[in-house]
Amino acid sequence: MTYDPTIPQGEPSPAVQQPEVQTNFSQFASVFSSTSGGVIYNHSALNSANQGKHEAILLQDVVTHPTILNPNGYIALYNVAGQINVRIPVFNRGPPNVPMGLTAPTVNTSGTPNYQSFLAGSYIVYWGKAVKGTPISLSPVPSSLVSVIALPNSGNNLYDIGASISGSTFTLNSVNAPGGYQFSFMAIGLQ
Amino acid sequence: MSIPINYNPNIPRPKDKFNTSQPQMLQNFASLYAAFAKNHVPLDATNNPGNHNVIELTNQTEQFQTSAGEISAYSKTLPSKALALFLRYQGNQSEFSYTNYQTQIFKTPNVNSTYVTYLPGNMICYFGECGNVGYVELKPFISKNLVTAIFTRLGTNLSGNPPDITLEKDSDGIIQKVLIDKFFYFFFILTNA
Repeated sequence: MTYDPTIPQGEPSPAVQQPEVQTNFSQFASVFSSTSGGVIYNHSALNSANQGKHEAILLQDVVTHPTILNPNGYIALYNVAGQINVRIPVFNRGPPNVPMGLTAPTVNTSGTPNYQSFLAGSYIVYWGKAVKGTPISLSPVPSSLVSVIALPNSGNNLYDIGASISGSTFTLNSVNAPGGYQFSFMAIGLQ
Repeated sequence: MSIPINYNPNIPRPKDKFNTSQPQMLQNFASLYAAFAKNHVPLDATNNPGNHNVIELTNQTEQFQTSAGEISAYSKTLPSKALALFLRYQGNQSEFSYTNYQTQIFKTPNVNSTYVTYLPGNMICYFGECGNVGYVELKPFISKNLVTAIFTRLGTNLSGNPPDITLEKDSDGIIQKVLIDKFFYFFFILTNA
């Protein structure tokens, strides 16, 4: 029993068409809003106080990014490969409206070994502590590591500090910090 | 884009003959189907009918009202002219832009490059690695105020002091460059637009 956008047709009597019409009304309501495990999905139900508003929105993987041609019309939120993307209208002049990732596959809030989250644009950001001279390998591994910021963590905050990147690994350097000294760092990489 | 004027919420009327209301109901069912399929898996799909394929948010000019227990998400134009996703928390709290300028066009993984993204609330983040050219260009040029600028020297030659910075702005007060001394640096610069 599914919704049929091609009924009622002309010839059959109302007695025949009545169940078809009823099916459409019923199916529209159940597809518009569904409940599973106490969670309402997609829209608030018809005849509810919030009817027509959204509840838990399920976004299907659309595989390819939608096209937006109208320069002033709308922005699109959608799912490609399990991540939420956003695409804004194309500008009248200037750059194209390249799709932009809003999320990343993982977030590490455990701090083992480092904390990790993401920035819009498919960037991964890492925070933690690093010992002078000890290479730090990041997880998840970025395709490219583009910036490392570090500061003295305690004690003499005038220690000099530099960073060297090699692939997805970085090392903090200092001339005057003692061996074993820990610096705080923030690193940003590309997914 | 043409505006469909097919759905009629006022049919059938009590004294209409069936051969009058039948095509009207057919038109309404077809219109509901087409409108719903614009952002959703179709009503008659075998799998996942009613889920969203995409959420298209049309440009709004006013803040949405939010009751207790609601968050509204909508699109609105930023001062930079970019259309952005805005959020407003429950109870009509202050709205803020969740997204900002598109950023991935600037994601060119080259040495001496500047990358850009944003944080919710109209904050712009520039980061990357600058060569010993004496400045970081804040492109796209939409930043009005420097919030913070942090630099870390690149490599093992650490002579000299942390950089003194000055700003180069255009006639509209938009920051073009953060001027620094000529060393190689990693940087993280936060502005608002």
